[in-house]
Amino acid sequence: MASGPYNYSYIFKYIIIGDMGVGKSCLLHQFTEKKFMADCPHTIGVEFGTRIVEVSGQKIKLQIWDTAGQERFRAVTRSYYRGAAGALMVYDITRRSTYNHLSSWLTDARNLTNPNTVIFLIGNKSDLDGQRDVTYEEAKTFADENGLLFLEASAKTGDNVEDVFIETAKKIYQNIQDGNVDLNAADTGVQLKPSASGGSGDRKPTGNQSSQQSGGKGCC
Amino acid sequence: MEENKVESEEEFESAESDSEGKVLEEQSNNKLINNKQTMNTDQASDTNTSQSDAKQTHTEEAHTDTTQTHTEPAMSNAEPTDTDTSTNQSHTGTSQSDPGTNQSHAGTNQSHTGTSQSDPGTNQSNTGTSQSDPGTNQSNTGTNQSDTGTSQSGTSSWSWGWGSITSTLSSAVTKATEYTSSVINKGGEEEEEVPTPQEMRRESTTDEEREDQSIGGIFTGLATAVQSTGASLLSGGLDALEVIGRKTVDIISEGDPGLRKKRALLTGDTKTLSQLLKEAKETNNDNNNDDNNQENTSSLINYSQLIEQHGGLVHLEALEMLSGDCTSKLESIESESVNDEVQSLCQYFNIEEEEEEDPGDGKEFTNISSLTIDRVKADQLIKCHEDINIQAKEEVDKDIEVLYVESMNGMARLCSSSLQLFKKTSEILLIPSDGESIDVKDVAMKLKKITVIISNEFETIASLYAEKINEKSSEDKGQEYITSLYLEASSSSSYVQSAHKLLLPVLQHRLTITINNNNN
Repeated sequence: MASGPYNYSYIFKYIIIGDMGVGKSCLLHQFTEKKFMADCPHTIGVEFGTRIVEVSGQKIKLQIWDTAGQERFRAVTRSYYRGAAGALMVYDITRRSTYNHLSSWLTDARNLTNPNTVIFLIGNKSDLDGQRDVTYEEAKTFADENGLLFLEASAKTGDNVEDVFIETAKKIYQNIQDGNVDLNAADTGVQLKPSASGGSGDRKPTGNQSSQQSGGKGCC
Repeated sequence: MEENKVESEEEFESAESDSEGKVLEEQSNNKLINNKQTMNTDQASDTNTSQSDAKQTHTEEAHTDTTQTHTEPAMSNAEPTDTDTSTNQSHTGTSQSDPGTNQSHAGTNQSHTGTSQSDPGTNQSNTGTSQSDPGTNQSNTGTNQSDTGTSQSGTSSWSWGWGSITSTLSSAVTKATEYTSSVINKGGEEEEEVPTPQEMRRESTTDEEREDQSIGGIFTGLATAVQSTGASLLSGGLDALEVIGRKTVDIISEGDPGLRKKRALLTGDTKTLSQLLKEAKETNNDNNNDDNNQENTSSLINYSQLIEQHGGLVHLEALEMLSGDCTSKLESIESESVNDEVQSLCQYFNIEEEEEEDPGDGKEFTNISSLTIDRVKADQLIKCHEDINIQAKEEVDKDIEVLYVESMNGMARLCSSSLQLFKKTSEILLIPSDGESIDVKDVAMKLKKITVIISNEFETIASLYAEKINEKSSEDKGQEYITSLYLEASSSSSYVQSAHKLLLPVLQHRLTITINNNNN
């Protein structure tokens, strides 16, 4: 069973957003490669990363869309929010301007994703505590007021990076368990892998086919 | 690239390449209804009746059809006005269109024929023969019928507009898979009469050769079979066809008065290429899980999975999102002159047959770097191409399995890399320009060249490896590999060409921005 090509039950789409230079690509790299990328080039448009994680005994494939932070790419990256199950909104704790722009990023995230999209606020570069420009408490208050999950993290040391991605997945999975996510609807950012769910080897192909059909055609 | 490393262990797993039935079924359902609506009833012929005509030649027919899949996209490109209303098509297998009736047909396997060569003046006529499937793939083939007509309408619908192009193209691609898998099954049974895939390939490349019957015994047999089938169909008389047509309507509308469900299906058909790819991948996976028979060699590789593994799928998805957003922005154009300008870009997005058939030499590929727009580097694509060529020309003794896996991986990588290039190009095109102007028509022209070069390259790669595999083994297995190699080469070209078409709205949108900037 474990040797199957799809030994995960779900695919969650994440999108990482935030100002240029806050460390979005480095967070992704740290998460997927467990390494810090010192000279990270500017992202053009969007880059991708994936990793399979386990939440509540379910294997979940995270498909992460790492967007360009540069303002001139804003129009392009706005096209990519659709269908994200999780949005990681990143600022740099040593640069206040990146924090001040959060409301604009949050507006985009709210407008361009669906109501169930889990938004996680990340204060990156927590290793640079000496140069801190935004206090933890201030950001925490902002997160609470807006119903966001929040952690400070460091792409350099790896501190909290894992947690950010996993906590988001847990929250999304919780939403699915609570019935808040319609797995048949488009744009939820969650795809169910019928072939891998439960890992049962006795699946009936016909039942599987019909479930696929309802997924594909039910919206008509 | 990161995702490749992460996923490679997880996902590189054997899968059948011939099991994209689900997608196909849905597609063909939709298309069939479409045919239904646009063609006269006497144009449909039922499998049961045509069986007797076509039975004695079914082996040859199946092969003809495979060669057909390579040339079809090009042919329809060359004739954008050749829509599915043309009068000389006859379609079979229409009784399969209702999902509800599928089960009763499970376990049958149809082979299909496209016989456009028998009469240059007419369009294609297709026959299908129904026969019980001795192979192990009933679950797949059972859902794959009824595509004869679809293939026609699918590939000849270029003039329809955006949404349908991607979906029809991909349906054509998935269908191509099916044809070949049925050929593979038969290939094992009736070896003597069966030309090798390479021979078939050669035959399909030039139409002149098809008409020249002196090529060889096999080909003569093929052509004769094709002609006699066509002739017998035509001479079979319109009466028979009318009866068949009526029967088809009855079957299609069975349990679906007024064809309401099917119409709903048709209008609700908004699947994108990436969705289809995903479904194909999953269906393959499902069938593979069901199929414990690991002896089936074609199950070594699931090509759509490979495309995902190399990141192609997600790039395509992103490109579709950009393209879709641009399309909706274009809808708000009010100025007629702007609209004319925007429409004028369409001409750069029809890949002509001769261009596609133009054999590329390896050097041409590196020219791509001079054809990309500023700030988009083709380095990765060119590197990928180099790697494939180096690998293909290695003087190491490799098993045919290794050669096969290697070639499929190479093509999937090249395909994914191409999709990435197109996505990046779109992204750069959509950055607000700071004073600098982009010559949109020039870009369009170059993108077309890039597309042609890449499309040709898949064929070159396939030929390169087919030769190697052929040297090592002329047995069934080797031929099977070669067949699916050419098939996926053709699929890859189709993916790249579909992705290319997604760039049209992007360029059009860019053009409107430029025009607006100039006016201000």
